[in-house]
Amino acid sequence: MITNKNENLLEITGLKKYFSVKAGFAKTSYVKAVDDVSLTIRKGETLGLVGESGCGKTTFGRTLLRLYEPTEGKIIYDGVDITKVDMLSYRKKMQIIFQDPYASLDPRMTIGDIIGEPLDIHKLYSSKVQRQARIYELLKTVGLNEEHADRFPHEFSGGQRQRIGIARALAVNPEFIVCDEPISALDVSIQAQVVNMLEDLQKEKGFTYLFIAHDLSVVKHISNRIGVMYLGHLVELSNSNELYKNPMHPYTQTLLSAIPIADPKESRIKERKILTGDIPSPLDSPSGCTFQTRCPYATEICTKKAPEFREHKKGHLVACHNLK
Amino acid sequence: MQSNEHIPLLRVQDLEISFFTYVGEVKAVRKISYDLYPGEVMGIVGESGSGKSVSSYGVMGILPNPGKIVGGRILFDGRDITHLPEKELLKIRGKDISMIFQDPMTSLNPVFTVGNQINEVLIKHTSLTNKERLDRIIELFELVGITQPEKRIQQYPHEFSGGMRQRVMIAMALACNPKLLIADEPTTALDVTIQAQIIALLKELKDKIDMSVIFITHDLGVVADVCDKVAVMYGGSLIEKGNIDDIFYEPKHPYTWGLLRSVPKINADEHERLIPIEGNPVDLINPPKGCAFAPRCEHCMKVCMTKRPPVYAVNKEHEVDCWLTVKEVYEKEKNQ
Repeated sequence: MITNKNENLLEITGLKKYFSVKAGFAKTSYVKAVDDVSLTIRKGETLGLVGESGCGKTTFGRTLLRLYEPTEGKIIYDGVDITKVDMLSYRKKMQIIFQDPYASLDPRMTIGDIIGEPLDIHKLYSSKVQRQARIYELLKTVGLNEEHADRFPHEFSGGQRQRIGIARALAVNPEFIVCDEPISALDVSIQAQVVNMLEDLQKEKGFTYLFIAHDLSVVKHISNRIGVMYLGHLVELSNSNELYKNPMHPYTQTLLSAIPIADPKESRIKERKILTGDIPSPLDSPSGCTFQTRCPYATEICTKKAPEFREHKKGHLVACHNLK
Repeated sequence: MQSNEHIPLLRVQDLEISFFTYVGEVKAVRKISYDLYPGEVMGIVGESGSGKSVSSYGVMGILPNPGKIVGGRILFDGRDITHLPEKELLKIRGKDISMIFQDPMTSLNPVFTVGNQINEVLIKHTSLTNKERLDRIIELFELVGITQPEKRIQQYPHEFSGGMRQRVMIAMALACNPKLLIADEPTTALDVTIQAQIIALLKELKDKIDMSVIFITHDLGVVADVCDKVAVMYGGSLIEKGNIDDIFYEPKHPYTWGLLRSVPKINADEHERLIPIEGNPVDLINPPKGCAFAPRCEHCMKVCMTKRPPVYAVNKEHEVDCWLTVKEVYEKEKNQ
């Protein structure tokens, strides 16, 4: 491990990412995809990020890697603010696994070349033999064979493709990996294979993960801490067991009660909180608390003032006016 | 539950469906049989490519080219509808049997208003007047929980959100009070909170309108929530079926065990390692000679590789296709 006493690998403060949208002649409005999110990611932990589609979780993950340029805010990686630096050297430390294993592999490249590309870019080998050896090693790490190196992506199933995507991310020996819904495109029986592999790799190499997903049971399984996002804001952050036992934000509560449980008896007695309405458009998000339009407990203050994101219990942060 | 009624609404017998592609015959559905009684909700679970959707497309008579029913029969309400001519099928489809699809974004026509699209169903199958049809559409919209129906029926699909579009699809499917509703992954494309809304709606509607439902999904949680009985498919075969408690608490097929074990438990305190099913899904162009699951099965015996397993009835409703249930074979293999 790195001999840095700083326990936090990433410190994110006030991160914002707005996308501009043309709204008629000479008029621009903004989609506030990520709006003022602050959190820290500790070394060696898995931070889960959940939320519905359009809540900004993927944008957040990508902005961290500066695949999108942040509009405002600071991203401090291992003590250095990386919002303005040249990212090339940091790409070696920070990697990403994409959601769609079909779209994220170039269909015209062989698997060997796909995994070898990051090695080429960062000049991580001195001879062709070494490059080949490294590719074989990576394939083995993710449970594939040497002979797969000469094949093309279309010859693989979804689960195998996701393994290739993981091998590519591992190629440069990163410290931090953003897993952007790595299993949501996979079948149930294959999901468990990939989740286990990610866990094993973390144990072995000490990776730090940001695990983005909308499947709450998987997130709970893999994460140490979980953040819940709604319309670009972080509404709750806590350690994962605490979050499931004692969800404080009304949105987290409904989100948890909406998970279907694979147990008929429990499912029959389970009380469900069902939200009315849809998630508002991020183009004109509600004033005050963004959740107020769907919140069963909303009061007058919620429509006026945005709630502060603060600690209510040790390590359990919530943004809600109704908590004292 | 009304499963005591003796005449099944839908009886599928040894149904076989193949796709004739240029690389060969893809046996998507290989001899499946099930009965569905009036008022029942049956879940069909399985991975992608297991034939769960294709088998119900067969029932609907909407198999995409080059798919064909090559064997078996489908009895709906006592009538053989397997090889009905298109003209006859049109009378049933949308009226007695209707379907909701996975993706509400692509299954509505973007150039017609939603009211117009539901109207079409009513023109086809009923002899209502203009005014009566309009009333019926408004009534349907209220039924599926769309507010301001008078205004909404004049809108186009793009003006609706994903969850709302799925409600429109449901309204359309229910327009003629069908006896059977086939829901093909109706919530897969939706967010969890919206999924919960749609599931609650379907449960409520099922009780209101007395209909049977086939619920196709890969999410065991959804099955546990809505279904009375479950059929588990793998590699084109129906490997286990039974009522919901039998399947969840006393599964007999190794694949069903595996499926149930591989989902993380949400209320587990301790971190338990997931138990995956190793290997990859079957290749349906060259399906294994014996049991489709044999190459991935941890209890695989010699006979599994060569011969298809027999059907074993655990009880009246619970049936499983597995060699492990045949005692003599199991003993023999163990002693070798």
